[in-house]
Amino acid sequence: MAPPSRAAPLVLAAAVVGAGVSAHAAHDAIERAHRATVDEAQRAALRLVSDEARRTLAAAPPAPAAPPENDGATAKTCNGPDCPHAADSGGEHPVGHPRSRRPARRKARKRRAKAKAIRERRRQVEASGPAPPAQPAAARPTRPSMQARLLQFLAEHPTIDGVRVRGDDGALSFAGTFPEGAYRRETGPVEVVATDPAGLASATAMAAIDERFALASTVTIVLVGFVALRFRRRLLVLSEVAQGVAAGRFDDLPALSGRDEFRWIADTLRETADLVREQIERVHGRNAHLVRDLALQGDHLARLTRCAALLVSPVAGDDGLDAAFSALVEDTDACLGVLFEAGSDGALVPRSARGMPLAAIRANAPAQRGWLAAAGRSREVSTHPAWTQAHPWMAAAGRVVPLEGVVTVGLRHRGRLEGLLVLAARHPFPERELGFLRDVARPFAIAMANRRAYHTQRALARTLAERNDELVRQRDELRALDRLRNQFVANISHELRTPLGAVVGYAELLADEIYGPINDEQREALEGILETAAHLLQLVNQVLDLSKADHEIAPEPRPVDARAVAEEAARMCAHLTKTRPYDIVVSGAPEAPIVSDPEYVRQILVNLIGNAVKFTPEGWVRVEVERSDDGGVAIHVRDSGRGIAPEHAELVFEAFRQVDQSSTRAADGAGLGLAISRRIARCLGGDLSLESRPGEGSTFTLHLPRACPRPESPLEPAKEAA
Amino acid sequence: MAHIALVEDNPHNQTIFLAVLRRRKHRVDLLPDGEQALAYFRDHVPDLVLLDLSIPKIDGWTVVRTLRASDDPRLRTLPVVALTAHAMKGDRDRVLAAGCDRYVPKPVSPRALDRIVTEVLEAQRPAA
Repeated sequence: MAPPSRAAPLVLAAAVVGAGVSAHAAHDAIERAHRATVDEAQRAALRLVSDEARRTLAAAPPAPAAPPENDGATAKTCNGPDCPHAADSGGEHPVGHPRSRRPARRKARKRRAKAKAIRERRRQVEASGPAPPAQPAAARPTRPSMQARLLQFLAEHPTIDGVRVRGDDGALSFAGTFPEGAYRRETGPVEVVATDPAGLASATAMAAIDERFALASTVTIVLVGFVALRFRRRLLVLSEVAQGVAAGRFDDLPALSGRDEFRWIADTLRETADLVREQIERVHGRNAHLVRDLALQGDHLARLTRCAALLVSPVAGDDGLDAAFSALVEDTDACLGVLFEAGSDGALVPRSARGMPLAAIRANAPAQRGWLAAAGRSREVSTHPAWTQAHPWMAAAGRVVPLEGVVTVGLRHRGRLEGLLVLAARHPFPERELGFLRDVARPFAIAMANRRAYHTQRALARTLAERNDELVRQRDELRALDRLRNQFVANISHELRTPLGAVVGYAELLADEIYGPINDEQREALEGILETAAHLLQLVNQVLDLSKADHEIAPEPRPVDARAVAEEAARMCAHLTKTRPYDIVVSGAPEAPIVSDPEYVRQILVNLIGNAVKFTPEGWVRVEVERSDDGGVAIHVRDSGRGIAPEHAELVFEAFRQVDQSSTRAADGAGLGLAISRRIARCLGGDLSLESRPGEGSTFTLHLPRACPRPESPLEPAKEAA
Repeated sequence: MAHIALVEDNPHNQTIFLAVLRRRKHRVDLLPDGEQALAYFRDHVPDLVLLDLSIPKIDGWTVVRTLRASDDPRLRTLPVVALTAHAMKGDRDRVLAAGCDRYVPKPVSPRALDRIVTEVLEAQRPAA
């Protein structure tokens, strides 16, 4: 018999036959197979064989006894879906096991070889004739028919390899093989030996054939069932995997054993699921990180805001800064905290302390100055070695447990160190906290800078207010003095002129002989009085003019013709030349319109002309009006007098010096007129200059701009007492 | 020969001005203060007024303004020569603006006074 592995389906089939249901069961099995799996050709072959079997079985004795049950059970077990091989050896089935896949190449080779064998066999069969020679003629009428039909069938169905039927004599009565696709490797060509060549052999052959068919169909069914079951199970697993993936359960996806496409799909699905899970986890992780980060940032911001809110108030008072500092110390869980403030000299002065008395800090601040200054110089937050009991501030605070976290924060604003925060906590400050301190340093620094600016400004404002008060007081004093002086000037003017007027009046009356005739000596004396009195009067007037402050020379500019003013001045001085052999000549531009104060211009010109006439006993005095390029005017008062050395030219404009030098001939009689004239000229926006050489006469030039500047408003309008 | 009102409080000036004017045979009414001057102008219309602006009781400014605001057209056109010790800048304009015809800063010399009086009276004559 066949080896056990090959025998399994046979045994199964035999069992089926032997159980009494053989032919019918085989028939049913063939019908089932017919319905289930085989193709049209196979179906036709099976139908043929099945009919034949029915006919044969009707006359044939029962089939031999079935082999023991357990064999069939074992075979069944290994073919079923609960095959133990699936569980052990990692899902691998032993080679030769029905589940072990044969490589396609070998399959193909074998198929080719088989096809060749069939062709050869067919040739042999055809050559040997419809029946073998050893075949007895008295064979049952079914036999040749059977053989012929089988042969015909095989000829019609080249895909069916055929069967081989051998008689007791060993002669081959029929040969052929079934199509390979219906069998596994183990089921090779079937060989049946019949004891009765006429009937039994045929029957056996048929049974064998039937058995083969039954076997084939059973195997097919079993295989199909197995495959279907296997497929179903694997599909279920696959669907479970897919559903798991769809539902997002990536962790406990069922595994598929084996190496087939299901496994591959399942694996791919699982891999995909893993990827998806990884992605999701990554996204989740990132989100979680972001959320955590956001929360931290929010907390950070909230703390900053709290500090900033407290810091906003320092401008109104100092409490805000201290409150913010207290909050910060509390916020950072610091045990000790000191806030230093940079004074105007940049030195750090303890301002506020938490956890220890400020006085203690102040007491040993000088000793701490070194490291404080170094900490202040470092721009950012810096950490320092822990403070132990030995640290003076620890002692001052009455602390024994070392403070591990010591941090200084330089409070800088616009490059200036405004202050320094010192915080000491039980534990080192985490990086996040240092970041917060770094951030909080800015509002603190700004607040301190603001506070400093505020105080500086307030101090400045106080100083300014004080100075302003002082200025107002001084101004009021000056105004009072000014009024007094004006009053005094007015009084002096009046008091001096009036008696002087009387002196001049009486002298003139006497000289004009109103009171009777006088002799020459008396006349000379009276003229002397008159001349001196006139000089005195002039001096009085000039001193009064000179005593006026600049702002009291208040020109009232209006459009004037400088030429007309010059002529008017010359007319006013005409009486001076009555004793001179010349008249004052005005020449130059026929008109010279400017904007100025004609009264001041006239006053200057009268002064210049008077001066020129005084020092020019003979010769000439000329007034020349010249329009200048800038739209202004230059009025020259020239004389042919004795002139003055250039080095003394400027001296004539210096009022008091000339008064001092009034004894010298050069300055005699010039009085203060020139100094006053120059001052007025400058107040009119112009100037007065002198060009002169000894013996070559002098030229005074009054320059006036096109428009006289408006005078600045005086402190108080000049009082001109009536 | 004219009729001149001299409004002047200073006795020295009175003496000197009177001497100058009388030499020219003018008829002079001497008025020592503003009050008397205004009273005088209620029933007198001289040919010329010599008015010291710094006089007691009512100052010369008020006097000349009153004259210029008078109902009597003769008083409104009456020549007024202002005499003042205030020779400061602006005085001249202010004096002329107040209604005076001429401005003579003090101290007034007899000769200058004589000249000015003569000029004003001569200017007055064709109109008179």
